[in-house]
Amino acid sequence: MRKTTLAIGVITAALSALPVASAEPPAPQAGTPCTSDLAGVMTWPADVLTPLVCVDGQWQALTAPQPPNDRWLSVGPTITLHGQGLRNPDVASGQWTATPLEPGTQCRAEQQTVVSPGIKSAPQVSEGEPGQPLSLQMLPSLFSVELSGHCLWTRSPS
Amino acid sequence: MGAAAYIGRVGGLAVALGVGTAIATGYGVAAADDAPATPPSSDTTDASTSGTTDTTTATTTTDSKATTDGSTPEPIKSTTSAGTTTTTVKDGTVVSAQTNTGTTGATTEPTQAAEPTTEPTETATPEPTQTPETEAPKETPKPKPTAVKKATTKTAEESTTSVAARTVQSVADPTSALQSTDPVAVFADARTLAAASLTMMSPMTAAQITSVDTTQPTATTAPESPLTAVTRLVSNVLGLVLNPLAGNMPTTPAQPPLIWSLLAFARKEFDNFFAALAGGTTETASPVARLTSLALAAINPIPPRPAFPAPGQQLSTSTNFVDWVTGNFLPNNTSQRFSIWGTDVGTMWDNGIPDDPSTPYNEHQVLIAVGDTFSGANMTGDWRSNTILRSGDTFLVDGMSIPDGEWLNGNMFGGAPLSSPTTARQVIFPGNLPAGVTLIPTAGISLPTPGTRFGATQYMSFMSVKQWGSPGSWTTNYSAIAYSTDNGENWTVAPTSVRYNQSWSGNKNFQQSAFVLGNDGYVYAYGTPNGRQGAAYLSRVLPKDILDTTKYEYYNKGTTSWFSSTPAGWYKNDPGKATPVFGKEGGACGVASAGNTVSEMSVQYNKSLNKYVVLYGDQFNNIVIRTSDTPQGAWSTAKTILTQQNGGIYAPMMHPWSPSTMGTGTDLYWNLSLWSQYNVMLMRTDLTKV
Repeated sequence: MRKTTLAIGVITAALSALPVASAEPPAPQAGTPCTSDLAGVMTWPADVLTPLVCVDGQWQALTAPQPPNDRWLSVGPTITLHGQGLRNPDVASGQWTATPLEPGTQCRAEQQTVVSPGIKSAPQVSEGEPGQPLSLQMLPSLFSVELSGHCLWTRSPS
Repeated sequence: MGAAAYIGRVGGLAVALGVGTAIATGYGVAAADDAPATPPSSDTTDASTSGTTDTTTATTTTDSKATTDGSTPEPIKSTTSAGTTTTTVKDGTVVSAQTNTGTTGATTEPTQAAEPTTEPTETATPEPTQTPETEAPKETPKPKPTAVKKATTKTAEESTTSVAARTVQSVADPTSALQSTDPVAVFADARTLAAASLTMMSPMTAAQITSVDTTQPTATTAPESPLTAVTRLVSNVLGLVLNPLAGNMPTTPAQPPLIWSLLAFARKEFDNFFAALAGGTTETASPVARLTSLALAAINPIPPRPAFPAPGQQLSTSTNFVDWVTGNFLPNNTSQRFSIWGTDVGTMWDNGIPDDPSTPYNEHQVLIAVGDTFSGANMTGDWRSNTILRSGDTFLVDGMSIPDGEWLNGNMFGGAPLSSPTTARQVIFPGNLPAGVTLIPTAGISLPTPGTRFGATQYMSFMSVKQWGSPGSWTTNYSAIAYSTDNGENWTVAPTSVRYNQSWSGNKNFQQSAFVLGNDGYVYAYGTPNGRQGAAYLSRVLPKDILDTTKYEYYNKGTTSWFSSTPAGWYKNDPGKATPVFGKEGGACGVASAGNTVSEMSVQYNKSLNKYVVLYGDQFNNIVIRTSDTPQGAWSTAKTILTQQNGGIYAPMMHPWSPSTMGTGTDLYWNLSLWSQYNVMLMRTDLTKV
């Protein structure tokens, strides 16, 4: 009995000594400030109907469909964007680079393309090393891409 | 016969109201006796029909259906089989569709019976000067009026499911949402519209129009029947129970979605119950389907409607939002019933199939073709490139109801073709044609085809999208027409109808379509290039040749240059000869004029206006309307009826049973897609205010 109690105590102490994961930055919301270097950047929190764009130092909700944007921000949780396989695409195909905005951040993209109307491909995953930029090709006929990690995604000029 | 036939329905209603009342009063869960809610036994079901009585009044006809044989709940019209159907058409194009019903004759191209009043010329003909006859096209829809049912429906809904919505609407100041419309030149004379007789009109319309033909009874002026009184009494009780929910006091409990779900079910049951007693046709024939709805409502509460727009909200001087057609919310809850969380387009046409009095359901429906369809939020989940919804709702003031699906019972008049009891399935596939990324319906029409299963064939034009671009921009591989002889259950793509999008071919101007049956017997097919930056062009064809592009004639308004001239007229099998009939008027002022570019569009012959009418979105994403005496024009200048809305609007698709279209009123109903919600809304435009 005493040994069991001791063991539990040791395990508890060990677990409590583990480093706590750093908290993710808060997801942008309409009306909250954004830094000037993010001007023109868009993001799309999961619980809103339209993307947010950083304008005049604030995140503002779009009120109508916009052309595909070349800069997107993901903040930890996955954001889902659509490509040219769907009406009013958020991103265009081409060469993209994801830049981590925190030292230990890992940028990850999971793409699905259109095989034929109503049929999507299996997910294709691109994942960078922690803290390292990720270069990837946004595929033609892209149906959707899930972006995760606290990263800035930028399309290279074609 | 008699009330005994509706015991099952009353039982279901009792359960819904019992549970709903318990929730409304906040005293825990009701211990409702589940005995009445069990599936009705064969002798208490309402489905079968062996007798029909037609009751004709001055302006309306109500078919009374009675049940005497309860042993056959669902009349089976054909051999039923489950699985996947693969259809091979003449040149090898294979179309696969999972179907819940066996079909015959689907691979045979239907023959047309309708003939135009005049034969087309083989070469160019002078520009027609004749004006259309005042008589409506023979295919003018004649939905079965169900005045008593609908009066009951409205009463029930206002007192039950729509309490909150109506209350919100009454609190809001409608004028605050008004948006000015551009004054544009010639259009319909409001006096002409006001003089039109009204047999179907909203109270709002009734209040606005003073000249009403009182010789024609209307639903709103009919003497109150005992059933209506009973309905009102029940509704009042419901209203009393629900009154606390309609308030916004701090003490008011949060509105539980479950009660809205149950009350939505109760509303539907009221519709069916009183419609059946009054002799109307109930849309929901299957007791199993009704129980499924109840179970779904009880287990998975239906979310409330989005905050914007609110049902009834006035969005412009002439136009208001009626209610949602699709979405994971009230009133149709297409998410739970058809796995349609989001979809768009919603082009509509009359299926041209008359009601069969020997069946318990109304075969006469409107088919609603939608584009990319998703089972999850934000375009996630199960993706279908296109699908079909159906509605027999003739009373659109309170929205357009879609009946439950019919699964593996041979009934092809359920709310949608299904691939599971609660999943609408994709109906058009690329076969051997270029796949592209999606196949989007753009227009549909029904034409009589004697000898086919239902005597009418559905034709649906669609575009194969190669790639989507910026808003309003996309490229297509081709457009084509698919046809169905079984009310849209199974479709076959006609290879002879394909129009490849080639820069050197005039077919590039016919990538999106709008059909209208002319008063001269021709099918007129409008076209636009891919995207929303072009003009509208016009072709026509005999109904029997609708699937053969070589038989089409193309309208040229007449051109003259230094080297040649082309007389105005129709040119057969030469799409390159087509010239714009509206849109892209040109000139420095044209770019800034309303309606300069043409998006997804719909065209109808409007019997109240005695004109052809087109709706489309323009370069400002405003919805505009034009009218013309003939299909080719001259078309009036465009007049904006609705400016761009928050979230992004597109694809205005007119309802063929609008009172103004039918010549019974001045309201024009139309579907409109809202991008932010990615769902289809029903809109109403009062043409006297345009």
